[in-house]
Amino acid sequence: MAHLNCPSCGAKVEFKSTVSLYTVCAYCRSYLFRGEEHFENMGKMADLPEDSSPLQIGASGIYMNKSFTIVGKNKMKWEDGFWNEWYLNMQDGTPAWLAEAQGEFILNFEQKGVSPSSLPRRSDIKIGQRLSLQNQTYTIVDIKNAECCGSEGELPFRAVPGEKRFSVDLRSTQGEVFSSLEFDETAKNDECRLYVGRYISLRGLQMKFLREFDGW
Amino acid sequence: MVGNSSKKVSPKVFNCPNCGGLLSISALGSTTTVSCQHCLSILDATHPLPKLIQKYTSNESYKPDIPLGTFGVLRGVKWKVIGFMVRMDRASSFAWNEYLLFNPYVGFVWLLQSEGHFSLAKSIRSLPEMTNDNQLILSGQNYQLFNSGTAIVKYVVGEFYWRVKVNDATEMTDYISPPYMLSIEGTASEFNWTLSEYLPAAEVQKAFPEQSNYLGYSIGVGANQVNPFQNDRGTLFWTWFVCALVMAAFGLYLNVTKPEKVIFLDKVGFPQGTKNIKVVSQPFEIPDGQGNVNFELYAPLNNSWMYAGVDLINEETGDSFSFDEGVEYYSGYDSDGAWSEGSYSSDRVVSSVPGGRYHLEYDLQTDAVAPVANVKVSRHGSMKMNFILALLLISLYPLIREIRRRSFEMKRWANSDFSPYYSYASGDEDD
Repeated sequence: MAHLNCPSCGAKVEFKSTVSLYTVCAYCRSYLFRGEEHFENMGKMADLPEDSSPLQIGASGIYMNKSFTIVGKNKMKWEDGFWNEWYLNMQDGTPAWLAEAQGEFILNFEQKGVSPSSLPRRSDIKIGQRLSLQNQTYTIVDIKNAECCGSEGELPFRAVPGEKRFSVDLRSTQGEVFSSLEFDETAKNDECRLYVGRYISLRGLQMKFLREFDGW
Repeated sequence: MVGNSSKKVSPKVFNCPNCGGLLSISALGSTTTVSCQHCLSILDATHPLPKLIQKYTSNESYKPDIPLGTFGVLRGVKWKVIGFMVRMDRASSFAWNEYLLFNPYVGFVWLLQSEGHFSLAKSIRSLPEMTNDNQLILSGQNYQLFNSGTAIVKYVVGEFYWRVKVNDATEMTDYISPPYMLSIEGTASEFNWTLSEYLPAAEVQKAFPEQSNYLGYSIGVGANQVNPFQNDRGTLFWTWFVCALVMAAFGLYLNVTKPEKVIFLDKVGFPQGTKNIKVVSQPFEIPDGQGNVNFELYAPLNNSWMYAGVDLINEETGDSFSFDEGVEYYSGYDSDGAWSEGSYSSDRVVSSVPGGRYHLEYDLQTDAVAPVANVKVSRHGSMKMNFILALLLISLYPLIREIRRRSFEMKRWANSDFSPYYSYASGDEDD
């Protein structure tokens, strides 16, 4: 767990995940990039819009007998609303994600080593189109032109307000499986990230240190 | 800020941009649309301050039975009512209520209210499969097509997690497997499956005790309401069947061990050309014993009748037992083929006949030509009547239950355009 001091305010900044590249200083909200030898200050991160998510950085849970902690938050906005992407650090150091939208939670993992030829080109993406990925058949069910609202904590990619993303939701024949393709605005050559996971309940994750709400 | 868990999160309060009234948002970040409680304006909640989209121009007003902001515990989860919507089927103008329930740890569910019947509904991700035109299967359960149409939004108040306004229309189809209902809403490219479960009135009243006076008065049968006469149908049938079998076996046993004992046989012929005779029989002994005797009249007729007024007279005491018997038999051919009506024989049980010396006096009438009346007086033979009576008795309860079960189903399907009980093509009742 590398830790250095914030170049702006001097506070101790700790990376819980070895995979994280960016973090927001908890004290002065400077947005820091984890360079090879020191942090680079990229400016101040704007406050995220408030929400009534039960999750927060520091909350923990258990998935498939492995415990995890929430270490970062990315908030995305699109034409008809918001969603959150929570970055998890599993106890064995592997990264995972908890996507949150409209009261539903999806635990998913970025798929590494997917051959680029099996992924569709951004210009080819259409709703209803069928894809074969990792021996599974998917149908494209949703396309969103989204933009980042900002981030908190640590994340493996840059997440600053205004950064655009083309987000594609896939549905497989097994309804509970969730999959998405994320194309970053700045990505070259149609590069995209593939995420695969499943719908899950917070109770099923045995989560602790969640936010508390008036009335509950 | 990170990990600031000491303060409890409260609903965010805003002023309505149209009327200035206070409105609060509990599902901040999820809520896309807010309809102001005071002026019913539709507001866009995806901006830091809600923006006006549409003012309310209708004069229709609907009052939710469970007010916004009410908390209630259903199925072990504490929910808050944050939205209320009234939708109407375009074709039939049939309207129902939908309450959006929110729990920050669990998400959203819907409480549906239709003619006083309640169901709890939630979005599902699994895709049902079509087994035939009118049937779906999901998780091993078969769902029957119940209704299909266009749902129009008539009224919205409170928070919703999608963009909604009055007069929005959605294609909607319902399939039932009581207590469940599967509904699909949307278009071919964008659709949503919802699974709802029927909630008994008592459960809803318990969840919302302050409003329980208004809840639970329902009309007719709910689409996915469980038929109370359905569940033990199998056991009931087999119990009845076994009882009938046991009775039949017992009856057979009695017939074998106590066969019919003929006391007296008589043959009465009509003299040539007569249609009416009065005859007195030879005397015979009725032994002491059970008290019941069987009297049977048998006459092979064709397209005619015979009637007997009978007196069984005790020669020692002068007591008489009087009764009538009649036989008739008709047959012929018509466009459907051969038909027949009636029977050659007729019998009855004469009860409490003490032993002694008896004779019969008959008053016979007929319209047949030269018929012969055969008379048989016997004991024990006719277990038939007792068996039929007993069978009827044990069948009474299952029969009544089956009638009630069917009546319940017909009431349920009366609200459906796809009822298996009515054939719409010919307008006849079809099963």
